[in-house]
Amino acid sequence: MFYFTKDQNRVDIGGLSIGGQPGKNPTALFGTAFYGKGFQSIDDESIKRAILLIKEQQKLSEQTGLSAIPDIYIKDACMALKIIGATLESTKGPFAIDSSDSKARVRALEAADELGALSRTIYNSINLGITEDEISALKEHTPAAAIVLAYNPRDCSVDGRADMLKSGAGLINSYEGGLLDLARDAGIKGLLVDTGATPFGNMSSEAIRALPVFKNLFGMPVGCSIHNTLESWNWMKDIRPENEQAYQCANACANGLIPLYGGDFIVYGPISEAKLVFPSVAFVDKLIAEGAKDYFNSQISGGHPYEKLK
Amino acid sequence: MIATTVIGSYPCALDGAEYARLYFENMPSFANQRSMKDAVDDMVGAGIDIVSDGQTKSDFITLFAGCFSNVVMQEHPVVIGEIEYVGPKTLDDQETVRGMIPKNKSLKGIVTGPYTLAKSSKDMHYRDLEKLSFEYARGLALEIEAISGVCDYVQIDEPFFAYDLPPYAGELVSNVLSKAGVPRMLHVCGDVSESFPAFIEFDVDFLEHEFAASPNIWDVAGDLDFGQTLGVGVVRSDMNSVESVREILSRMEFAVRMRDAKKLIFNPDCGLRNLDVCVARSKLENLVLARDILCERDGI
Repeated sequence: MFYFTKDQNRVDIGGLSIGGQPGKNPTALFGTAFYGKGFQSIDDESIKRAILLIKEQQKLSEQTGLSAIPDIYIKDACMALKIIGATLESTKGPFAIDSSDSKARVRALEAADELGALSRTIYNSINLGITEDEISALKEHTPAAAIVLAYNPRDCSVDGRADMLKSGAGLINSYEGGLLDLARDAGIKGLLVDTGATPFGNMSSEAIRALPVFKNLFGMPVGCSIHNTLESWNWMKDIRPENEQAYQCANACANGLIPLYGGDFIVYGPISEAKLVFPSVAFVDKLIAEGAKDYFNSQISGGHPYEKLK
Repeated sequence: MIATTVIGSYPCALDGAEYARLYFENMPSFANQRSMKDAVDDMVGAGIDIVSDGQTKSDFITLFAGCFSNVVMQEHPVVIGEIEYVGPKTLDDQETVRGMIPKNKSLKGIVTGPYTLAKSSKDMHYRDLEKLSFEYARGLALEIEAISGVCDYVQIDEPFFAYDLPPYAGELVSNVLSKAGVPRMLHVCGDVSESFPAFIEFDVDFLEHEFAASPNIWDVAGDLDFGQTLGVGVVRSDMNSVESVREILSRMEFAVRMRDAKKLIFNPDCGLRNLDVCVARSKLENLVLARDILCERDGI
């Protein structure tokens, strides 16, 4: 569908390759574990259930050829070491550490370092709320990669989102400059750009339009968590209790938009949705790869759904 | 009593961390509501009589360029075809603010003027500044009509008029305000001493200017006879420091010597967006304090 004139940098981490020209590499799917119903408090039982889901996601990756990355949600900083330790026992590939709380993200970095896992850690995310403590922690315990969030509350247009990456849009208290420079200054080599999905009424489509624009502007892997737009949609919230299939169908459709518009990764929400998301994204990936090969004569990577799913 | 008002924009109190928290809770819309409420609360708390929504949501060009189809927002609005008004864009916010403020406070709806919008646009369709300005005016008049039902005053901002006053400026102002059902204000910032004689011919009820930063405007305004109420800037919007009550009072005293108090209102020079929020709040508080002292002392 697209071919970008800008050179496309890939992020190679833990045996996976994310990014490049559309169709070249499979889409990377981040399923969030230790999050949502049943994970309000973390104990041995909930850890077991989460690990099972991570393994199921990995199995789907092996079946489809799509890249699977567990996105480890850490609500409570005290649990970081235990949760990351359990994750490392269940996967040999890369994993993301994710939290809405800056202190928990810092503790997760420290834990990943203590466990010798920074070379396969993806920090999710560097965003406008970053603190000085967090920047120091990133310099001291530098992860191999980070997701950089382009969300700009003052201007949700594509340009506004780009401004957050380039200049910080005057909203970052702890750093003079944009989030991409901040990440590079911290020494992070692998950068993935999250265009920052927003609810309807907040220029939501700009998160999708930004995918090809940012690919061509920055030459980096891009993606987003478009399921957040769907989940915040009031109408869908109203009908979902009586029509779960409608939600599932819309979710499959929403996630398919990301590779269709040139995106390289999807943070697709709770990892329990993997069974739904992987086949639908595999369909879009196969379609795009076929187009890339037919029209642009692109080389498709080995193990891609294009080859794997006949 | 001489009324006090604001010119428009107000700094946003939310910092990046708070915005991020609301984003991760999937409530970015709430961030806009919060920043607007914070701004309005500061204005009301300071004792300002005629408040605005603070324009905390977006900048004054992006906000109103969004009222039109065939205007694509890039670094500047880009006009790619025949423009058509698709608003209203600010009515919901004005209704929200109306619900936030006490009954004894008035609400001013602020709209960016058509000439400023046209000058800020990259015009790839009309390629004619005058034509584009009048097209914008046609649409913005509908925005003003919509918010007139909620607001007690409407104000248009035309910063470009200070140094670049087109011969059709008066007609443009009349057109954009043609559907206003409430008193009409024109704000032009900068040193307007050269343009001021033209402004008094415009069909508006209030003229609001930067008298604190450009007191030489009085050299012209003081000698002219005109019917509009004069909005006198008594605190600076380009200095991130708070003027004392005494300093503000002296500016007010000068204004009262120059013009009938019944034909005056007091305001900051311009929008306060670029100031620290604590500075902006203190400027408004001191402005109201100085006004109270003046009016009580002189029985105004």
